[in-house]
Amino acid sequence: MAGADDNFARVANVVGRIFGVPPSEITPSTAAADIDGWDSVSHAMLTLELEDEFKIRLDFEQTASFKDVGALAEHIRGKAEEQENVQARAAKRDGKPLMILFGNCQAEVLAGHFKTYPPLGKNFDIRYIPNYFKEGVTNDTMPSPEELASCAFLLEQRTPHVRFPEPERVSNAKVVTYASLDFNILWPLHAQEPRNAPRPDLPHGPNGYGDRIINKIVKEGLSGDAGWKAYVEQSEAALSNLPRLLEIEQQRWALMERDISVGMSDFVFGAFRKKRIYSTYNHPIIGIISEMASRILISAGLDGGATPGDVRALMSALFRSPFGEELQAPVHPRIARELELAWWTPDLTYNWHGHRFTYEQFIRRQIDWTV
Amino acid sequence: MTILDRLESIVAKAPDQVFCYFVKNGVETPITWKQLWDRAQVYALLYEHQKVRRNSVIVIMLHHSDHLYYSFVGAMMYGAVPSFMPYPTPKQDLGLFWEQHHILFTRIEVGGLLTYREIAGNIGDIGSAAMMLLEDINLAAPVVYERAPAQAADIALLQHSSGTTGVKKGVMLSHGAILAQADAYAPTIALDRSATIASWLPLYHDMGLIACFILPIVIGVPIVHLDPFEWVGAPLALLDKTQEHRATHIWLPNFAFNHLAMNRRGEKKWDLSSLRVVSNCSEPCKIESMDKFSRTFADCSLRPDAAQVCYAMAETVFAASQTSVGRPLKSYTLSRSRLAEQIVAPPESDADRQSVASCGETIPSMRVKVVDNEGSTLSDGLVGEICLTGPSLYSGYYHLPEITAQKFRDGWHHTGDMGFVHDGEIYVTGRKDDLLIVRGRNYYAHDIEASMSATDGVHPGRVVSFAMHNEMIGTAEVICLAELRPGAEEPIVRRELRANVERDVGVVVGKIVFVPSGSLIKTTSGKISRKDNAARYAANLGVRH
Repeated sequence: MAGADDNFARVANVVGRIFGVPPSEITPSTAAADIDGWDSVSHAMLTLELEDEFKIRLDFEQTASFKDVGALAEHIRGKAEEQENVQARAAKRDGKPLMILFGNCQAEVLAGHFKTYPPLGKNFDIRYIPNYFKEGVTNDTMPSPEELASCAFLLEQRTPHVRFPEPERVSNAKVVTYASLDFNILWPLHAQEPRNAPRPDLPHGPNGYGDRIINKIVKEGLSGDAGWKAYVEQSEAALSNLPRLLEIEQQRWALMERDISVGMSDFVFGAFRKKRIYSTYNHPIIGIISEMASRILISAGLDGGATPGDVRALMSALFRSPFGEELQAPVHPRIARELELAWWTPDLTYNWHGHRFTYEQFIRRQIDWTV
Repeated sequence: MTILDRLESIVAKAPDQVFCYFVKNGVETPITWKQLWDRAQVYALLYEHQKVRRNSVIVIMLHHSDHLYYSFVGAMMYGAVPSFMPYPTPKQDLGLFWEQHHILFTRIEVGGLLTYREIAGNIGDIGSAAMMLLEDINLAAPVVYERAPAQAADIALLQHSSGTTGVKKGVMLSHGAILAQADAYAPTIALDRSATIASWLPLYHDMGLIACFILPIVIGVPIVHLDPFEWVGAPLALLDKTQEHRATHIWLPNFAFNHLAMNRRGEKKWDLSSLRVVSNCSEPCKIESMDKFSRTFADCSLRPDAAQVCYAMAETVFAASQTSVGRPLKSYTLSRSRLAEQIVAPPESDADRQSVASCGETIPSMRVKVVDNEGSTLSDGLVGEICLTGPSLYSGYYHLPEITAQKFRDGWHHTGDMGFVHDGEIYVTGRKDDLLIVRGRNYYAHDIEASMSATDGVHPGRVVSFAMHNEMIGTAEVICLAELRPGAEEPIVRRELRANVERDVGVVVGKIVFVPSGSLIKTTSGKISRKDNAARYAANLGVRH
């Protein structure tokens, strides 16, 4: 590995070439303000030339904020070392360092697809670790301390309460954090359905996606037409302040995304009116997960030098399953109208375990529990 | 007929087609024509609630955001006059920035300002104007707004020129002038409803505003709009989007042709066969830059004649002339040092060569003449001030009757550009005044010189600045010549001078040269001559790079 002096000399050479200054005049304390013509466009050119020289990837915005050439050279040395370390770790584990995906079923979908994606599957031992109690998963799934120490990537889904256990054990890993994709605004009345229980044919029960107004009506002993009528009235009243609910949901996302590497709120809030991108509050369609996958790969530096556009194209080709679409929770017409959901029509039907129901049919079945 | 009449008919015909693919942080969000219209109505209502004065100017100062479109169109619906203005750069002093804008806001009696909370704190009092913060805007509420009545002769928008102090000029453009531009210019470049525009240009710039926002909304052309700041660091994203959306038109300042070509690496190719015109505009156009671009991307199915030149300015709405699409470009090679004195002569040496590209013939509705200092029309091939007239002319500078009277005489706009006409085609050779054009943006030499003079260690008043083209980067750079005070330490003064100019004027200096005391050339009236010092600099140093 090159020494610090040699490293600086290489950086100074590139800076000299771009700005037409003899490299001998460039010292570690030379700042952008000391060199003629160092504006953002020529800085972009410099970044590119430095990438070529050192065979690394640099972040344009990050390199733009260095105080002097010495600090820039130091940053580049760190980047080059980091790259060597990643390669060294890979060599240590039979060429396959560990990549951990920690999170809910959305992270599980990511892990499943990443395993089938050759640039990742061939190079990493990919493990999914759930962040919730999941049937059939015990602590045995947790990698050994030795394995954790050689983990190259921890892709951690952040929820308010659950964090990756013993994060200090993955000290060599690059950690990328991303949001839970749960989206509440289309189903603000969501509640646990108390009557739901596992059945032999349906391990999660016929319908765990309950509704607090339905719970109330059932408690009052209403059913049939009377139940439906009561639901229509009471749910309308409960949804009287949708703009505020939307605001709260936006704030919730903003808070959640405050300290994480990969946010998705811009994408989700930009798209939910145009397309049915969620089947239930916790099941986005596969396209949302594919977009998150692209962002995670870019953020982790696992894009293999491809442009963001190319990464997206690759991911959307890879993520093709009808994830979550076998269960579609119905959207209240008032919500659809007030939030201007372009994909919604009054006679839209919802898929539920292979049957399709209109909104009214769905709610009546749920009230009467003829599911 | 107004801009909104045209836009409304497009919205009615194709409500759910995409008006804009808005790109930020690498994420693309489509916005339909109906969404543009609906969200603009939300803004119109907001202006009403905020009691913005009708017919007053609404200044919009935002980063790359889809709200730029809604707030601008909404202002027209409301019956106010929108104007985009640039956001301060990170190195600009916010206090100074707002101080300078106060002068401007007072003069133009601004009716409303839309910006962000993060910078609004520094703004101080803006009189009776309504202050609106993007953070408070909620686009979700559906609104139907009955728009204010408007006529073709009414002012549709203000396009503000550059300049730091009170000199920012608001070019008044009427609905009629803008529609006349669209009707005359669009056919010359095959810009019609089958087209798609890809752009990274900021909307406060006339090329971004007119070519990549206003023309599209009166013709019905979708745009793909990238973040200017992101583009600088990843210029080839523009080609990704061109390929993805089969874009047909791109407008670029000259330096961007170089920047795109120089950023290409590796084997990656794009399908650029959809491009009809890549228009070079808003700073002196160089055949070398366009050749470099065309050669670099020749293996990407780019039409060899796609790169074309357009001569444009806010005062003619946008294009005054355009080279013929499908025909090779023309240029003259002239003496660089003589051109600095506005004289057309053959080059004296290789280092003295400078090519001047043809900007083509005027678009069908416009006429051109070249005049001398006395205002007499000059014949073919002689250098003088370029003057233009036609139906897409501006209505004057907002609240600046004296400057309007100087520039707009007998129905002709006196551009301040020096140049000549040959075989009906316009060739631009320089500027009559002290305007410097760097990376497509305008600065004034006297602003730069004031900042230089105020630097410790510089002999006040013994400074001069001018622009000179740099082949390698494909744009003009600011050259600063200054005399040092005795005992001043050159490296320290150099650093301070550069920082001062960037802070005060917002431009990065290309070259600082300290000259011996008393060596700057003066005119007979005792003033330091920009023209003569520029000519001597060019002759002595030849061409850098």
